[in-house]
Amino acid sequence: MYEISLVPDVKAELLRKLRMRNLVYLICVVVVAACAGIFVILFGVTGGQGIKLAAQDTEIACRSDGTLKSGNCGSQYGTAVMKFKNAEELLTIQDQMKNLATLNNNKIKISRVFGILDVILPVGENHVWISELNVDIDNNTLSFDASAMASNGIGFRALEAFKKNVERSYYDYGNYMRYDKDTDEYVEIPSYCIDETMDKNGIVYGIYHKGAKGCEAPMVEKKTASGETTTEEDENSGDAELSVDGEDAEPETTETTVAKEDIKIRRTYLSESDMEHYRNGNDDLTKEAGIKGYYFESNCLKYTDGKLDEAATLEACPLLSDAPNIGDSSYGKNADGRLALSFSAALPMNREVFLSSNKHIRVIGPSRQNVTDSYIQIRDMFDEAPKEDIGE
Amino acid sequence: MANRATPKQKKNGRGKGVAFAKWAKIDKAQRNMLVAVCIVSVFLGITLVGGIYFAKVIAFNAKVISEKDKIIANYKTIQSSLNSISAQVSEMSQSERLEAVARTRSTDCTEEIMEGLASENGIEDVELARTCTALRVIPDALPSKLNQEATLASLNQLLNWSNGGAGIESISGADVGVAEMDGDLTVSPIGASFSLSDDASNVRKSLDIVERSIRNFDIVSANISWVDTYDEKGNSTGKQRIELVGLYRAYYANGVKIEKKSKKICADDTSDKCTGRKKK
Repeated sequence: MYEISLVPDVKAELLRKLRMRNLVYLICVVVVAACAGIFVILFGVTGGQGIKLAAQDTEIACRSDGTLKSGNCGSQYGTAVMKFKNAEELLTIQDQMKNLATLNNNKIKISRVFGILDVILPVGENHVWISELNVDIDNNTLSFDASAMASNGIGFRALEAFKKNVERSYYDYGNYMRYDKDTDEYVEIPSYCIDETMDKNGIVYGIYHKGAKGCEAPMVEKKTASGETTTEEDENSGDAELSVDGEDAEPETTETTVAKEDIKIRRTYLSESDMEHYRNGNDDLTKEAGIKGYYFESNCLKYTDGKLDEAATLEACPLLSDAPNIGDSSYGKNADGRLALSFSAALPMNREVFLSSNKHIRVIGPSRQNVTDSYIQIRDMFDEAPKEDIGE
Repeated sequence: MANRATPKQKKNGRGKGVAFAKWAKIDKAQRNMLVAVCIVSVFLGITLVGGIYFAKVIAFNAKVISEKDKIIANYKTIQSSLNSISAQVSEMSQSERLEAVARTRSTDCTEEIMEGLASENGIEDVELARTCTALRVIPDALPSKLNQEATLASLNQLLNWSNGGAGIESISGADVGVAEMDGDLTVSPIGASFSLSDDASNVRKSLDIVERSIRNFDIVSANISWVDTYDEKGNSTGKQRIELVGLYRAYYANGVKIEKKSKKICADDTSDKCTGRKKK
C-alpha cells in the first residue's frame, strides 16, 4: 500500500514555516505584552510612591512648620511643633522631671554610714574605734583605719569580733502601711510621716505623725475663722515627683478634717502570724483594736514555716557584697603605754543600703541593730589614730 | 534562490515558478521571525534593565516612605505629648504640694502677673511661670544652666541650716565625672566639696539636711576622721569631734532645643558612599 502526498514538499515546508512564524509572533506578542505590563506596573508603583512621598512631605511640613509653599495646612495636622507655644520650655520641664526621677531613684544617703558603723563596730569588752574612714560611693567601699581594745588583754579577739559582726550583719527596708478605708486597700505611709524608735528590748516602732502635712492631710494647711485646721481636696496629682524628701505624696480625694495623732506602729515581728496580728488591727498600741490597722511591709525579712529565718534573710540582704578585706593588723603598746590593736579594713558594701529610695533602712548585726535614718545621737565610735610606736 | 531549488523542482520545470514563490515566502517568514525575535529581544533587554532600575527605585522609595512614616509618627507623638505636657505643667503650676516645698516667691511676682499667667490654652509664659508659680521648684531641683556659684550658695545655705553653719571649714568647687546610673540621664555634673568639723551628731545632721534637699547633691566620696579638741589651756578635752571632707556631685540639665535634623537614607547601606569609607 502506497500513500501519495499530493502536497508538494515546498508547500509543506512553507506551511511549517508559516506555523512556526505564527508561533514566534504569538510568543513575541506575549513577551512584548508582558514587558509592557511589567513596565506599566513598575511605572504605576513608582508613580504611587511619588504621590505618597508628596503627601508625606506635605504632612511633615504641616506637622513641623505648619506652612506649605503651595498653600496652607489643614487643621487635621494639629498645631505644628515649631509653632507650639512654649514648646522648648515645656520639653525642658519634661526632661527635668524625667531626670529628677532617675536621680532620686539613685540618690545615696551617706548619713546612714553612722548607723551602719554603730552596728558593725563591737562595743563592750571588744571595743573598736575608727580613726579615719573613707567612703567611696562609686565603688561601694568603706575603708578605715581602726584601733581596738580587748578587756581580756587579747587584742585580736576584738578584730575577730568585728569580722564576725560585719559578716553576719544584714539589712532590712520597706514601707509602713496603713489601711485606707476609702480604697479598701493598704497604702504606703510617706517616709517623712514616720520617725523610728527602738525600745529597750530591741523592738522597733515607727511613730506615724497622722494629720501632719502630707500625712493624710494636705501639704498646705488652711485655718478656718474659728481657728481649726482644715484640709481641702488637692486636685493636682501630677506633682507627685517631688516632695520634702523626693518621694511620692499621696493624693487626697475628699474634703476632710484630719486630727493630729501619733500612732505607734510595730516593725519587728517574730513570725508571719505576728505581722498578720498587727496588720489586722489587733495591736493595742494602735488604739484602734478590732479594725484593720498599721503594719510594716519588709522587703528583706524571710520567714520559714511562719517564723523569721535569719539565715535566709542574711542571704537575701547581706550588708556586705563580698568578704571584708582586713589588713595591717598589729598588736602592741601605744603612746600611752597601753596594749592596743590597730588594723585597717575595706568593706565592700551592698549599695542597696545607701539608696535613698530604699526607705526605713534597718541594719541588724549579731549583737546590735539600728534604724539608720533615725540614728541621730551618735555614740563614741571615732578615736585618735593609733600612734606610730605600736609594735608588731 | 536557484541554488536552493530541490532536485525535484529542477526535474519538474513546470512548477519552477510556483516553487520559487513559495521559497520566497519561506524566506520572508524566516526573516520576519528573525526580525520579530530581534525586536522582542530588544524589548526584553530594555525591560530587564528598566525593571532592575525601577526595582531599585521602588526599593529606595519604600525605604524613604518607611522613614518618613516614622518621622510622621514621631511628630504625632511630639504633638500629643506637647498637648499633655502643657496640661500637666499648667496643673503643676497650681500645685499646693509643690508650693509647700518651694522657696519663698519673689516679690516681683504680683497678683496681676500670676492671674495673667494661666489661660484656657495652658500657661501663656512658661518662663515667667518657672519663676512665679510652684513650678519654680523644678529649676531649683535641677537647673537648666551651669551655675557653680549658685550651686555652692545652695550647699552653703543647706549647711547653714544645720547648727547655724558653725562646723563649716570650707566649701569649694571641684571636678567630678559623670555618674553611672540606671535609667536614661541627660544631665551634666557640677562638682562641689566641703569640709565640716564638728560633733559627730551635728555632722550627721548636716549630711541629713544636704540629703533631704530638693536639689540633688550626690555624695561621690567622703573622708571622716577623728580630730582632737582642746580647751583654752591647750589641753585635750577628750570630746568626740570629727572632720568630714565630702565630695559631692550636683547636676544641671541643659534646656531642650527643638531642632530639625536630616537623615541620610542610602539605597545601598553597605556602599562606601553611605558608610563614608574611602576606597582603597
